[in-house]
Amino acid sequence: MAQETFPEPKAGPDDAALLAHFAAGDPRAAAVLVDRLMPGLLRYATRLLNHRAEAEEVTQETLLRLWQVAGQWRSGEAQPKTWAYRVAGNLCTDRLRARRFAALPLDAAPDPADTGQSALAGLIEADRTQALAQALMLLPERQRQAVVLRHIEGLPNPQIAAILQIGVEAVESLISRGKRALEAALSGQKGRLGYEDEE
Amino acid sequence: MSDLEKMFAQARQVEPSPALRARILADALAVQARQRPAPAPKRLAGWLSRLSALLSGSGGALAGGALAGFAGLALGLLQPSGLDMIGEVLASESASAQIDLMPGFAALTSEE
Repeated sequence: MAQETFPEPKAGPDDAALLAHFAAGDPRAAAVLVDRLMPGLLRYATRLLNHRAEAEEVTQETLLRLWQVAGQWRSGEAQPKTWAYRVAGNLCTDRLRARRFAALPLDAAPDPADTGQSALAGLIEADRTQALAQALMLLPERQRQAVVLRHIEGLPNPQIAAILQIGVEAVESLISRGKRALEAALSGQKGRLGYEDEE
Repeated sequence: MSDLEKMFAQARQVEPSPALRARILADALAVQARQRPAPAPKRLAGWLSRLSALLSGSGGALAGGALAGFAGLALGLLQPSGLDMIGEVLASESASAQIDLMPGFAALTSEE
């Protein structure tokens, strides 16, 4: 059987164009989309759920749904990235409701990144990440979503508004209240987390 | 950079595993295989193709008229043998070959 040939995707096609390539049968489009969308979705789900394994499942399920709707995708509507974050957020909400999250399992914390730092520095960094993760879980869910999308994913407020399907002003309010709540929750832990030594 | 900003920066260090990437790509290829559009059927050749296109095209009414004319011409030229046989039966003077197409009322009331 003759190998199907596809035109080489142009440098930097947007996600919607890649999705159209995927729907047309180009397998390379899926790999590019995965590399673009998967890391952010995994970070987002990890911070919303504070559980790595569940976050991986949500990421996989979100992208599976994206593949399934690729053929019906209409250009000019929501960007695939915005759509994917919205689906991932909804899947996380479903899981949080199902398990009535109460406490962070000890094995859920991510391993500290191997950056050649000392073991002590690695432990402190893991401790800080864990502290932030626990403080995030204390926030109301919409605040947590908005804070993660803005300060960890680095998305602009209009895109966050599109993901959460609320107005930009409401996003700003959620982020502001969320950050204040985080600072309050973490203020008593500065010594334990090693921030006082750095100042 | 505030302490909170430093913590946000550290929280970005979530690296996807190669296994997760492989699972997601496998999903993508499976969906792609299922949704691959079926190859278009080969076009009918010759006059049949043109007739099909005429009937399914926008000039359907015109094509219908043309087809009816074509059918009438064919009937006239081919002289179907079935019609001849019926004519012979009706023209026969043999009593056994009579066909009573309109039986009288007496036949319905007969007790035989």
